[in-house]
Amino acid sequence: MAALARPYTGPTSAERVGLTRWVTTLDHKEIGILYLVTTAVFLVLGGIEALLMRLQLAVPRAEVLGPQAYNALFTMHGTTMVFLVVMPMLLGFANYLVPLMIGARDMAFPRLNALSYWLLLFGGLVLYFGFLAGDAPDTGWFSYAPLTERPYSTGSGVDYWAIGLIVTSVGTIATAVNLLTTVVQLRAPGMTMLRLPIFVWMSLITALLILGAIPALTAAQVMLLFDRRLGTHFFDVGAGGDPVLWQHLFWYFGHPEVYIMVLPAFGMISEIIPVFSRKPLFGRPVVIASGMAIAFLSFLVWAHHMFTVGLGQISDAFFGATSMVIAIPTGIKVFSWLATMWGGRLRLTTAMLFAVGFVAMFTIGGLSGVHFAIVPIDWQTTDTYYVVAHMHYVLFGGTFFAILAATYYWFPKIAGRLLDERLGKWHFWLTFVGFNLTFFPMHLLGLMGMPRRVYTYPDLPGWGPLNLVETVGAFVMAASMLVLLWNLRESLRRGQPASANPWDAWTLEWATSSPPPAYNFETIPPIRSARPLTLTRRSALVPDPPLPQGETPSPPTPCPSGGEGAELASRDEAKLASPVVGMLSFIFSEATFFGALIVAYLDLATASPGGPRPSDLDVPRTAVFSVALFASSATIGAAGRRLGRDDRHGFRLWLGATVVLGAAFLLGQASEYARLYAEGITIGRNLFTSAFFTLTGFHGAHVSVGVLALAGLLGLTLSQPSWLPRRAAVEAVSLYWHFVDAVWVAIFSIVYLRSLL
Amino acid sequence: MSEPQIQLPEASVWPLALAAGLTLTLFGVLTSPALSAAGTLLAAVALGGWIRELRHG
Repeated sequence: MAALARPYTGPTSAERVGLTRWVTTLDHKEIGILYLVTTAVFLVLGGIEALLMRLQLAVPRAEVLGPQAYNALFTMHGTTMVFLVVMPMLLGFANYLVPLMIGARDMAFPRLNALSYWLLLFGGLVLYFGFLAGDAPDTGWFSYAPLTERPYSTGSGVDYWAIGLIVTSVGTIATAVNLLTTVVQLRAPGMTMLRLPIFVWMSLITALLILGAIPALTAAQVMLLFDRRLGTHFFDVGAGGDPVLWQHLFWYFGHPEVYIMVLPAFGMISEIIPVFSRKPLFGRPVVIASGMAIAFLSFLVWAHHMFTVGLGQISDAFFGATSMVIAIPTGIKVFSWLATMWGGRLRLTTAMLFAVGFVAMFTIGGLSGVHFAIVPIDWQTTDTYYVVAHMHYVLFGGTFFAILAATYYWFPKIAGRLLDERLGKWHFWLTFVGFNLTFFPMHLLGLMGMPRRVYTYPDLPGWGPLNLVETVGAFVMAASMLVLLWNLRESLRRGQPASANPWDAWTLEWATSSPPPAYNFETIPPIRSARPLTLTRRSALVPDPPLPQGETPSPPTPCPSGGEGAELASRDEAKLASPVVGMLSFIFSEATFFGALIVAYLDLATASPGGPRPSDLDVPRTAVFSVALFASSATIGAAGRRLGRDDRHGFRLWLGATVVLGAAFLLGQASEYARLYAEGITIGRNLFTSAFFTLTGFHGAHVSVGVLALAGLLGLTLSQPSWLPRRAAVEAVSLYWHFVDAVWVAIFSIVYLRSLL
Repeated sequence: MSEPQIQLPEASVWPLALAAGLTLTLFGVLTSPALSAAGTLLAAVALGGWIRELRHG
């Protein structure tokens, strides 16, 4: 490695000690570790919940737990594992690894990165506050309406569930914005998109899935909270509300969520199997393309979770077909991993054992998943243990095996020490045996008709013994986790020190020391393939392709820096600045959120038998204050152009005009609300008012945030005449403003103009 | 000519404070308006600190 090209004189991790280091850190590696430790704690909690359920189910008619406690436990177990363990654990790995793998110094927005982590922690604490305060959510992890409505869930458990998850979801969306911007903007020179490691590709696709899916859940949870706290009627059957709307919104989020939890695992496996097979990944471009195909198709399959609702034959046929089609790109990946191993020089390290275990277990889970695409089979097995078996083969045998493989593979990089392989193999075999003992019999019990989510069961032939085997398997898995914990403890204390590249791997994170310094790299090796370390390692068994004739290797290069608002350090050709890319990503998530609210409005606005109705709106009056908002798009554009010409006066003038026009719109909206309330048209009156006030109110809240931000910016430029904001920042704010305007065009057309028809 | 130094963002407490403020604001909706008010105040202070750091960083 070349000498340090640009010396770093800031504080090192070792110089920042104790709690202060961890609560103030902006280093992506330390934030990644915080994610991993926090999610491990939640994993223990979720695991204890599972063990308690298995104790209750060990024998027929047991009385370890009552029905209420059992309901709370399966709700908390599912919610914890999905939202507080699997998804954030994968994001924790992405946080640690993605900047290293692309040759960057940090994430694009380090402060936002820290905010995301703290929102995860605090959201989790809110969720568990309700649980520990005796007000646990007990409606299942997908909390179907109308069970979650006030008359049926009178405590605050559902509220804690919704608010806890809204908080964590905001953090997850912020992480997605950050990951996407980091990969697009901060790649080292030579790291083209096609040379990105597969884990980075899958993290990038996952970020897009998060932005397109999670806001739909947030919107549904907002509606649920409004139903429970403000008296709206979105899912209130008695007032004509639509509980099936909850199912649509939940599963529109829920099925992409499966791939949010699986695609990064695919990425991990695609890194690990080639290294321990000493072969490049078979069909690498096809693996990337199949990841994209999965992401696209995942938005077209949600209603296969709803076949028993009775949506009709056409709907069932469509969603059945798309659900079968999505198995094709998934199968391509399985064949790619098998072909990579075929003829390779396999090294069965613990990481590789878990990776191979992943391929086998995930394939079983995938095959049982295809069964659910066949509508009559789905009808027969819905809400039985067959579903529980399927999802655990995908998420535990699949994703969690990949996480364990990744733990053994990247632990040396993170900790600077190798995990003990002997203990690792004990861990693997105990997990493998315990997992299959626990979950394979569930297939049989499900086909026998044993319903899930029921706290006990009758002593029917075969049910008791199979359940007992499952409980024994669950405790074997718990024992395997104790082996892992012991291995982590011992290896951290006296494990074999790890070199920079203990596995002879090829991706960039192995080019720096283990653990990496605060600044990640001294210099980046030349990158001209997807396996850049083969250029620098003579021991690599499979060489890089030769350079084209006449081309010379590029020299080591500095790596791009992170930092909010940081322009690219080394990609002069970049057309967009990081704040702009970040804002475009954020707008994508906002579009999903407003899309869900608009769908709810279209579903419910005219469903109430009596008034008020859309025709009660004063359209001409609203048109007048809408003009103010539309005009503000032009004024903020003018402000940006003036800033580009260094025309300070003109910039302030047009920025001020935008603030005034935005405020005028808000005043108009306030006066409209005042008139409606004076006429007794309040948010809880009927379905129309529920949907109308929620939709327009959230839009108004967005305009308010924009006006405050612009007014703050104007205040700063007036108080410090010599200071001007960066163009990229103003461009990003302008984009947000244009988006808010565009949303109003849609709302004005759908809510107001449509009422004239 | 000497090489420019590597610039990394300095440690900051404002992300933690902003997350705490936002969470407290929503938590207060279920428990006490006073908590919501305190959360909003904390979030505003944190946002101010965050922006100040960005401007001077």
